[in-house]
Amino acid sequence: MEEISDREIVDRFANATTRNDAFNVLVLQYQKRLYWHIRKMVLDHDDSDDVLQNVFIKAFNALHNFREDSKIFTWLYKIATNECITFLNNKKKRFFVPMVDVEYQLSQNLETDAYFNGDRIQMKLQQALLTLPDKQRLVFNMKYFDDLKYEEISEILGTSVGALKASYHHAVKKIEDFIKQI
Amino acid sequence: MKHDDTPDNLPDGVNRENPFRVPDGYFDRFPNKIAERIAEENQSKVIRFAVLLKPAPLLAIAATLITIAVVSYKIFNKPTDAFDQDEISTYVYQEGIIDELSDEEILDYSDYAAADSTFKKSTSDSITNTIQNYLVDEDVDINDIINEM
Repeated sequence: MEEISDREIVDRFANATTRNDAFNVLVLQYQKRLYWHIRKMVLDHDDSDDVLQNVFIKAFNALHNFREDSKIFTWLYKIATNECITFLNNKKKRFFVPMVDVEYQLSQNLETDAYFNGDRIQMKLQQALLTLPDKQRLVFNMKYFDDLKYEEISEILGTSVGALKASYHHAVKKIEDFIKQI
Repeated sequence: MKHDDTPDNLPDGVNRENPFRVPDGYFDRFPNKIAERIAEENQSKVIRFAVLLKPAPLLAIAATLITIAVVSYKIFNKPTDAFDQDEISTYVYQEGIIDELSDEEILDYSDYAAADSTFKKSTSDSITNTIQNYLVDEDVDINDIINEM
């Protein structure tokens, strides 16, 4: 699919007659990247689907305010990141359990998840990631799996590049120690 | 593909391969799903707004009738321009407006009122004379008129 520029999407969205088409293009262009970003955080497919829908609903309602001081993808990524954090926090509140137990639940669910095809080492990696604080897990995912630049991650999370580098290398150390223990 | 800051101390076997998968056709169906959901959300916003508008026709009719009534009252109950001189004077004194008027203004008004009064008196006198002249010309006895009344 030929990608359409941010400018063109915004212009078409501003026009009532082309709004739905423009938004459809936006969804087609970014749904996969956003989905996988979400999925790596919330792990379950159905939960990821819910979060992704919420992200695009919010994007639809806010796109008329988009000022192009960043790329649309960065803006969407930011929304998706916030929705992931909100989802995980709500999950903790809903079940009245500390976050550690929620992570244990997520880890257990992964072992029986029909939509998880990873081998043993990949399972261990996911379990190791669940021991990290949410934000550190986000940093690791965005750097390691999504291959984003530190400057891009900084814009999404609002954290300095230096802090991100430190967080990422610390995460790598924790993951290494976790996997080696098993 | 070389990644910058590639961590080289992750255990062997760890890689960037995606271990997750999605149901078949998920991404093909998702755009339609989200379009339907947005349409539903907009529909529910319209319905909520429509509920507020339900009494609007009745209100519109009531507002129209009230407007017609007020306008009609203003048109057909226009206060007369001709105020009695006594009424004007009384109002001016009672409301303290007299204190706001300069001597010149009061004198100007008095001259006007006198002129107006004179004009009315002269007009009235003129009509009386015309009637009297007619009666004389036609040789009508005024007592006959009185007896008829």
